[in-house]
Amino acid sequence: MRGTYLVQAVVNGILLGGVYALVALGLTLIFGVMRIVNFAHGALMMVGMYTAYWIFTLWGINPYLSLPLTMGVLFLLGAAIQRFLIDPILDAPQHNQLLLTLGVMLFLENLALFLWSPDFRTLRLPWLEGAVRAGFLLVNKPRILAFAFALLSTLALYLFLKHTETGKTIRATAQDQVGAALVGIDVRKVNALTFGIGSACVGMAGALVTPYFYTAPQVGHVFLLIAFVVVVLGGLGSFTGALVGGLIVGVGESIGALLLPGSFKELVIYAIFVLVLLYRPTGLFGERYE
Amino acid sequence: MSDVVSAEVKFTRRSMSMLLLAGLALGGVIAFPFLASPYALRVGILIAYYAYLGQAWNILGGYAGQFSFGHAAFFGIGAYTSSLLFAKLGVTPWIGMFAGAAGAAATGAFIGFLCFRYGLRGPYFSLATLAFAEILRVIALNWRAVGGAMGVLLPLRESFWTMQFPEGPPYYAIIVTMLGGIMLLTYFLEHSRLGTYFVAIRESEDAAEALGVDTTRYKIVAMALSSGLTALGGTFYAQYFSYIDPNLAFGIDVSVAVLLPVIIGGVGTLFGPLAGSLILTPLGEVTRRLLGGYRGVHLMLFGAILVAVILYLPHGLVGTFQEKRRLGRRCSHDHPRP
Amino acid sequence: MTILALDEVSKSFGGLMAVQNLSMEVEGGEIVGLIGPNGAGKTTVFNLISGFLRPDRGRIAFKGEGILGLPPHEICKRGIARTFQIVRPFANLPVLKNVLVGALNRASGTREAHRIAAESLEIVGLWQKRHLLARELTLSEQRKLELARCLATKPELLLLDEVMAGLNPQEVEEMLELLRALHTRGLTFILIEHVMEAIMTISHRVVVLHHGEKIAEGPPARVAEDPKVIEAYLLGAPQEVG
Repeated sequence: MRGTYLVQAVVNGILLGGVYALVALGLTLIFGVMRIVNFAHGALMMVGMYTAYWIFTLWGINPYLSLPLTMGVLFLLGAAIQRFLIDPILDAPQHNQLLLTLGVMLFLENLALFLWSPDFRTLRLPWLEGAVRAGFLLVNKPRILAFAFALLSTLALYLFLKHTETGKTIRATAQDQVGAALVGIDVRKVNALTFGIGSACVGMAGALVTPYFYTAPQVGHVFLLIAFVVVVLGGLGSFTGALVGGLIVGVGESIGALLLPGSFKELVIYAIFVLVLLYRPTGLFGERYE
Repeated sequence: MSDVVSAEVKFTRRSMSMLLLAGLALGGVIAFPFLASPYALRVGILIAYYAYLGQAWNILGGYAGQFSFGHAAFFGIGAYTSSLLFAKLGVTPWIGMFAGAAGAAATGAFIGFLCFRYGLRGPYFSLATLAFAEILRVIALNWRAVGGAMGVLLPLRESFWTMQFPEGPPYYAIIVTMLGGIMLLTYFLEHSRLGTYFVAIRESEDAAEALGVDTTRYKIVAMALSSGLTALGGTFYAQYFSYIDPNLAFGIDVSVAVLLPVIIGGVGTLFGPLAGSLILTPLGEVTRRLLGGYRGVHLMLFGAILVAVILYLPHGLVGTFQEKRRLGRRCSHDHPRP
Repeated sequence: MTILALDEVSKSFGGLMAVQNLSMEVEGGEIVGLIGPNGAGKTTVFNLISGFLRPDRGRIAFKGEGILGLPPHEICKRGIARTFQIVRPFANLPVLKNVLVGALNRASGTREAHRIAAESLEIVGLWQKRHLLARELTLSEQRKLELARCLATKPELLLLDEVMAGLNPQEVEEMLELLRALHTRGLTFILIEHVMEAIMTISHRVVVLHHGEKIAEGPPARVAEDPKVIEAYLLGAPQEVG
């Protein structure tokens, strides 16, 4: 009997982890190119959630159909933040960059609080309620969809980075900002583009979880910390790391929820975090930075 | 000859006017509780309170250069320790606060030891402190012995020994004394071996090491000092508001609130936290009143201010003022510049 | 008296051998030049001696005692001071405070530290500028500041890493004068330099590294004629000449 619970937990964990990976991808992409730890990442996800929520509430378009719109909004927001707020301080000491993104987080979260109150909102999709049965496993439908979309976008992003001109330009800039400038790459444009893409990723993740996760101004905190854990575990700047890290954290949290009472499962995540920071801060796939 | 004399006169006149200003300020601070309305007094208390917390953070973040994003951990340890000792065992908060400070200092030293021994710097250190604060929050949330999600409600028994007062002035006196104390401490720190080592570590850890400074040890000391002092602020909060819970004590909001006035006012400066609090606290109160409604909306404004300060005044108010003054003085001097 | 002895010291990074089986000795009062093409491992040697890196193999002894595994601040307390290839001043601190940090190494209190700091600043000629912030100094002044900081720690052995780099000929001459003056006070030096004329004039002895190995050692004039050295420089990574 125990075994089936464990397998169920692992499956749930994988589904969860896929979404975590998508969230983390944005963060790690931004860090890889600009060496910036984006504290506003969770808040951007929150914006994605609210965008999907309002599009559905006002116009009846479900979050999967409205994905392009949500991603577009987040892309523009991210690019604007980068271009106008972050660009000027790319040479500033790192802690200032952290503080700036913290300020953006504060602003966005509390703007949402002001506009839409702290009430938890949920997006109900009656045709997506319930679970799918596979043998002894029970898998929640929205979670499967979220995982599927997350996986597809991750693949799409991978192909984009690997095979398109723009993607290669981004990777070149990630390797060496100065070198990239020297070969004629418009680094400012790349930075804005990257931040936009990173924001679109996390905004998409936000839209994908609205059918089963509550939407509220402070929801970003939860995912921000998880994103940090995933990214540090996987290695700041590493695509593969975000994927693997996401799955590990997802499964870890799921098993933790199975074994530990209350909300102690969060402790599992933080414990992983602290251990990784102490023993292998470069993560599983990261490079050594000075 | 007359140049020297007039320079001396200028100096004396300047120090006289500074002394006069200081005297007026001191007089104002002392007279304030007697003249102010209860609401104004409350704002005054909060100004001093955030300035105090900011100064405690400043010692580690501004002077030693280690930006902690998890100071709520120490705040919460202070608040919970003194409150639990009081609520469960009847221990007076006057003693409980020091127990909390000791616990926080030990925790800070431990966290510092873990982080610094493993060479965590910059954003990694900030994230680690954030994680530690969150760990404590989750523990407090799930541990029924410390109240769980319900937190701790302080039994109301107003007296000096229980550090509970019906009106503002005694609270004001306490927090202003704490603020004065920590600023005096910081002033002496600036001129001491400890403080000199702190700023050296901030500027260049490697250079400091090469000059004989045991950087790991001193960073841990900075951590312990800062966390112990922060904990005292936690006790004050608990006594003033008579209630704490895991979010109020260990939440990210607390960690942010602690460092915000310092960044605005000027990291690493003596008056930075006070200047920052003097601006932000009344602003927050006014915004809250005007916009009404939900808790935390004033943070929208603070977020915008934070962004603006980082972009345009990265040294904060006091820091920028100091810069301008230095540049001004240099121009009027006859310095042989290459 | 041998003040510093390296015995078969090796250090590698990943697969790259930065320093291979290096053995060398420095006598008290000597000025030893450490030269070699870029990437020869010279700064790595300094990092190994000063404790910033730990050798994979070999031993390092200072005044007869092993110093392997000691942290940099311990090694400074023993009497070895070093400068950095890229200057690392305490940028936002006044010049005086910069040197004070070093002075506190031996001083028992802040008063004595101030005295030592003042002395060091006088020697390098920066006393007038003691209230300026370190970042407001010129490069030449910043190098002198690094030197003053080191001096304030009251060292016996000084490791100077490219202390002339980026200086114009007049500044190089000033620096040489300073080093000679300090030498007469009994200090021992190991200098890494690319400014050939300077290092050949002032060194008693020169050690040449190439790909982490010692390929020549001896008085400057003899080393300059050594065909192995000439070959190493011609085939080594491109770098500034003289």
